[in-house]
Parts: sequence; structure tokens; C-alpha cells
Amino acid sequence: MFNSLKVVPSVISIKDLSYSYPGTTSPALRDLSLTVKKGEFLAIMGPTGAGKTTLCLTLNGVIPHSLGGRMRGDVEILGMNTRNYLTEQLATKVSIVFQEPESQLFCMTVEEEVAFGPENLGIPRDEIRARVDWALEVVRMNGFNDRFPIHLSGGQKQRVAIAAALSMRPEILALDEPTSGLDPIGKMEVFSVVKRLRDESNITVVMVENESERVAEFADRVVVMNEGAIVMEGHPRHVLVDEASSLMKLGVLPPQVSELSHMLETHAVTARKYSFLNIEEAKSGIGELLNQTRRK
Amino acid sequence: MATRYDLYVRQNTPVHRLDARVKLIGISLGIIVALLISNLFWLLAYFVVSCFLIMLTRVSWEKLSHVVYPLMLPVTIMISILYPLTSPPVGQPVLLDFWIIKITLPNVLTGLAMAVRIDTMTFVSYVLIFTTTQRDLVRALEHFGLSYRYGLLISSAFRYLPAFEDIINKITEAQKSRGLDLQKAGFMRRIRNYIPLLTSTMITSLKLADQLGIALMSRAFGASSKRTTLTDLKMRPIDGGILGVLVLLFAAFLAARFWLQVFL
Amino acid sequence: MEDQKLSTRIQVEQLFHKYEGTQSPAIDGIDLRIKSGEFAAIIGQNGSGKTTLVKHFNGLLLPTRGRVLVDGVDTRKRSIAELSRLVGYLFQNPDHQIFCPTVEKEVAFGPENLGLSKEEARSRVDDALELLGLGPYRSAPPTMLGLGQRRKVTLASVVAMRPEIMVLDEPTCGIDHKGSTDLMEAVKGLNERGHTIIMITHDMRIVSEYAHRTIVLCRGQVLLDDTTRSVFSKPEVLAETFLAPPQITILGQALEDYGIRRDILTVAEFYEQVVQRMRG
Repeated sequence: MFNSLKVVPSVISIKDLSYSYPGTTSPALRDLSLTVKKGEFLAIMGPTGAGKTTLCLTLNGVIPHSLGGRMRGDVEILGMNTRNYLTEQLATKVSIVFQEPESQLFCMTVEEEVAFGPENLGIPRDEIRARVDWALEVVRMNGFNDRFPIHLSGGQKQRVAIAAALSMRPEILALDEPTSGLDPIGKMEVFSVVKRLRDESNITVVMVENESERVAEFADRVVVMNEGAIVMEGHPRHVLVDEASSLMKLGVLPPQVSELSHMLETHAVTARKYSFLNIEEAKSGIGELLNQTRRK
Repeated sequence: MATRYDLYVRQNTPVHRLDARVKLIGISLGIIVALLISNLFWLLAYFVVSCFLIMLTRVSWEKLSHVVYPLMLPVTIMISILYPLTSPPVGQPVLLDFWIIKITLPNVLTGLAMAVRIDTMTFVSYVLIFTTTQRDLVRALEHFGLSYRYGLLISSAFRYLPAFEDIINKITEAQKSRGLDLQKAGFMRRIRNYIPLLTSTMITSLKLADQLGIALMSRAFGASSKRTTLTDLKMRPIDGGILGVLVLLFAAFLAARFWLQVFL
Repeated sequence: MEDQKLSTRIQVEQLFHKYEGTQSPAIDGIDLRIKSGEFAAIIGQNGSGKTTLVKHFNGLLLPTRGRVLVDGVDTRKRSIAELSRLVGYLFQNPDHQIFCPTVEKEVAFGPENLGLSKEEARSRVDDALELLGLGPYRSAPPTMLGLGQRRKVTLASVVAMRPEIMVLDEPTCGIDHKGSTDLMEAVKGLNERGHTIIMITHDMRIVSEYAHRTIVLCRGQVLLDDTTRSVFSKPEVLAETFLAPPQITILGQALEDYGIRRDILTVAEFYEQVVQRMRG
């Protein structure tokens, strides 16, 4: 069990979290516990109503401070218990990018939008300028400074939203189904930014995403939620391939190639174990299988 | 796409470069001047000056016509006609005396003066609107004491106006596709037909406002009482100079008006 | 029934459409024919003209040039209200349609606009609610339901008008897999009953599972228009507009040398192919 001497700190530490929205009886979150390590890329999957968005909102204190309701258990962000800190204070540690560009882009120009967060924090002008330039560069929207966000494409809008979150220089970036409703190009644009963040920075990313092919590509760890609780957790291969059938029962689709490897396993097509997380693995696996058949 | 709401004219004239605060003060003074002139001749002269100022903004006739035709022309005509018709007949000579209608020349002239005054004030205001971005306008107001919260409120209104136009269009299309006929005869029926549109718009707006609130908080809105800004208005020496000139002109006008009794 | 199947319901002839104040046309020359009982998917990037095209089917937009015929009649000769009897349109955002205090009233809105008798309207509402499994939510306020349910409510309200042609604008957007399947199975049921379905979507899996025909739009023109199988077997063409077939189809294409087909649409099909190959 002694893997390394280096202990990676937890940046998010959730213990026995339960939450009900005001005026409701059934809890949106039930006894949920979760730890996220620094630099980790965590994907959260699950059917509608599982509580994924609710969970995101507990990360920066919107729950419980702004939405009220009944919360039990604790959420600690970098050692700070969210009960004891205002959203404004937590916003420097955690930034959230929401699904709808329309309601999270409210300024007249891209530049103002990205500067909004740092301006609120009272950061000196030079520093704001540096952050805006950096954030726009990361999302590859430099040069769009004077554009009216509403005239941009869906993918561009969400990238501006990500830049606006990044300019707060958070240690944790949470993305709540950021590509929902985008066209294929828009999805590509957003995922390439996500990939860049993953590869080039050590920012901790928590992404709610049901596109399992993307989750397979990016995530270090996957958590599956259902009805307010975490029902599955582990490495993408474990959740998407090994547990493909349980996943499908929950109403979440694994990658098609994983469904395929699951089918091969179930029907005991050969004695071998098949585990396909992506196309490359499926190609070589099936190729091998068919080669063997040829040789017979 | 709903750029009607963006009245800003993208040019780079000296008026554009003038500091927004100076323009705001200038326009306010200009409006006060218009209100203090009663003489038709002087009003017409002032109107010509305002036309000249509008030309300085290099606004295209196309854009200007959106202001003149739907807005100014009807108002001008209405006031010129309604005032002499509806106000108590004053002075000589009487131009028309028919049944209950009595129109006197002084009344006609007063009516015209009112119309010209409004046109002048409109043009003067548009000098500001055509040459100042919404951001600078709101900044100027903030410099004059408007709190940031209200400044953001105003900016958001500008930002979301086209979005609401879009939403209302979509809602109208959606309901039309279900057979809602907005052209149907019958006054009451027509009013009732707008209820689906209003209700859907309200619901969508409320949801939007809710999400917007969460987004604002997540970006630390209200975190620090000492809010900084990335860009700000910069007062150049020439801006100060022009402000000085405007104030002097205004003082001279006041003197002429009240002391020398001109412009009446 | 055979005759019905062959009749053309929607005919698009040399269609051009340019929005006021824009430079380039949104639709730049499209000819299309949609027959009775078809289940067609329209795919393409945003801005390719998908929504613009389908809005011509119920008269929300009229051609700048060219014409659109619905059941042989030029759409210019009919009002939107009239066309709504023939062509139902499901909008992407259900909140743009929902305004009634109960699901029942919401679904009844369309039939009422058609001027039906109360009994007829009620029976249509009951039918629609049952078809979509909304019976238990009859008296619930639609705004309190989740997105998937709200979509079903708007679909039910379209279905209650019994239009023979239905246009669905991204019906599964934002809903999870279970909700999507629920909805699409209901749509499939409608198609089996004879309704012509035209669906705009970005979800290639849904396309491969439900649509018989796929129309690919790019910059206001038709790039591909064929059976779904045929369209997805041409990834190079799809790539021109940055589209890709479902993962399993791509896998089939990657293993072409091993005798796997280029036009596989589902995981089950792929599995069958592998088993077949193995049997030799």
C-alpha cells in the first residue's frame, strides 16, 4: 500500500454531505463523501436529477449561502469549510463554468467579461490586464477583446466563459456540462481547451460530463452519481468498461467500443478478456481477434 | 441581429474622442439652454446648431433616419398641430374660427417653437448617444456618483435587450406554430392571445435572472468594496479646455437670457 | 398504404433564403423532397441552415427565391396557423412554449386553436398524454417538471394537434440517455403510425438508431442526402464540415481490411459482424 513518499494534498474534501433545496422534502444530495486531489481531473457522470449541478454549487458556497435549504455534512475547499466563508471569498479558489452561456456572459465586450472577476476582487489594473491576456490566450480567443459576446458562436461563448473563470486564477475549475447544446465544432473547441488545461497546467478540474468518449479521454478518475449519491467511483476503465452494464442500467452510456468489449466478454467469444476504452484499443483488440481467426 | 439597440456609431471623430463626462455635462447644459429659449427664431437657430453637431458625429443617414422618421417627425407634426388646436386661444391675429376650433397665429408659433425645442433636445442627446459607448456612458455616470451596482444594472439592461428581443421572437414563433393566430379579429380575443407570449416570456426571464444571480456570485460580485477597473475614462487637457469653453458659453447664455432678456 | 408512402409531402424547389441585413444567404440553393412516412435527420454545424430550412416547412419563413410546397400547396398561399395543422414544430427550448398551469391545459392549447369541439379536443389530449406516458402528470404544473418531462409535454402538445408531418428541433438536447430513449421511442411510435418525422440533431447516435434518411447541410447547401447508412459510410465527406459518424461506425471503417463493413450503425451490428468473421 506504500506507493510513494509524496502525499498529494486534497483540494476538495466532502464528508457526509446531504442537502435539500428549500421547500422540498426529498434530498438532492445524500450522505455524499468525496475527495479530490490537487491536479486531478475528475469527471462526474450520472442521469438527470442525480445532483451533479447541485454538487457543483456546493463547491463555491452558493449552496448553502445563496440558495438556502438544509445542508448537513461539510465541504472543505483547500482546508476552508464553505460554511464559514462567503461565496465571494471562495470564488478565488473555485471557479464554476455553467451550461448556459446566455446567463453567465453579461458584459458588453469579451474583455470586460474576463476582467469582471478580478475587478470585483480589487486587483490592480496591471495584474488584471495580465490575467485577461493570459486567460484569453489559454482559450485561444485572443484578439476577440472588443467583440460583443452574444454575436459569437456557441463554442466561442463557452470559451469566453472559461476564460472569465480562469482569470480569477482559481486552483479548482468546475465545469457543469459545458458542451451541452453546442454543435460539434463548438464541442471540439471547448474540449480542446479542456485538454490544454489538463496537459499544460496543474489546475484541478472537476467536469460534469456525460459524453463518455470524452471522459475516457480526459479523466483521471470518474464518479457516477444517481439520486443524490455516489454509486460508482474509480478509474475510467473501471467505470466505463468493467462496469459498463451497471452504467447502462443507470441510464448513462459508456463509449460504444466499451459496450462492444462488454458484449464480447458477456458472450465469452473467446477466452480472452476484452477491455476497450477508446478506438485505438478496440482496433488493435478486434484486429488481433480476427487475425487469430484467420490463422485458424 | 437586433443591433438596433446599439446606437453607437463606429467612427473616430473629435466628438467621439471627447471624454464622456464632458459630453454628459455638455448635453445637460445644452438641454437646459433649449428649455430656456422661448423665441422661435432663436430656437430655429439653435436647431441648426444641433444639426451641425449631429453632422460632426459622422452618423450615416441610414442610421439617423431610424431616429428622424419613426421618432422625431411624428412628434414634431403632432405637437405643431395639437398645440394650437387644444390650448386656449391667445393673441391676434385669429387664423381660423370654426365651431369649437379657434386657432391664433401666436399659438401656432408657440406650437412650432415647442416642436423645434424637442427636436433640438433630441438631436443634442443623440450627439452623446452616437459618440459614446454604453460602457463609457455608464462609467461617466459612475464618476458622477452612480453606485457600481446601478451601473451594472444599466449595462445589463443594454446587454440583455437584444437577448429578450430574441426570446420574444422565439416564443412568438413557437406559439404561432401551435396555431396561435395573432391576427384574429376581435379585440378581446387578440389581448387573450398575447397571454401565452407574456407568460412564457416571464417564466424564461425569471429563470434567466436566477441563473444570472448565481453566475454573478460565482465571479465574486461584491467581494471587495474597493472595486478596480481594467479601463477607465481619461481626461485629456483638451477635454478640460472644451469643458471650460462649454461652461463659459453657458454662463454667457444665462447672462444674456436673464440679464439682457434676449432669447425670449 | 403503399400509395401513401410514396407521396411527396414536402417539396423544396431551388430554395434561397437570405435574412434581412446579412451578407450571405442562409440557404443557398436547396432542392429536396420529403415523402410520407419518412424519418429524416438533418445534421450540420450551427449556421449551416438547418433551422432556417425547416422553418420554411410551416411557414415561419418564406423563401427569398424558389418555393416550398407542402402537400402540393405553396407555403406563400397559406398562413402559419393553417400550416400548423399539417406541420407540427417542436422547438428546442420547451420553456418558449409552456405557459399553462397544468400539463393537461398545455396540451389542450393546440387543439383548441384548431377550433375543435371540447370532446374531440379532450380525446386528443388523452391520446397524446398516454402516448408519451404523461398520464400521472396530467394536473402537474409543467414548469415544475424536469427538462425531459417538459420536452415530452411540448411534444404531447404538438402530437395533440395530429399533424401528419412533425419537425423536431434537437429533441434530445440536454436530456440524459434514459430520457432521450423515452422520447425517441415515442417519436418512433409516431413514425410507425404514419407520421412523417424531420429531426434536427447533433447526436449521431440518435441519428444512427432512428433516422432512415440523413440530410447533411453545409453553408446553406446539401452536402449529402441519402440513407443514414450510406451517409455515415462517407466519413471523408462528413469531415468537410467537421462532422463524424458514431464511434462504432468509425471503428468499422478502421477495420475495413479485416472485412468489417463501412456502414455499421449500432454496437449490436458490429458484434454480429465480428461473430460472422470469426465463423469464417
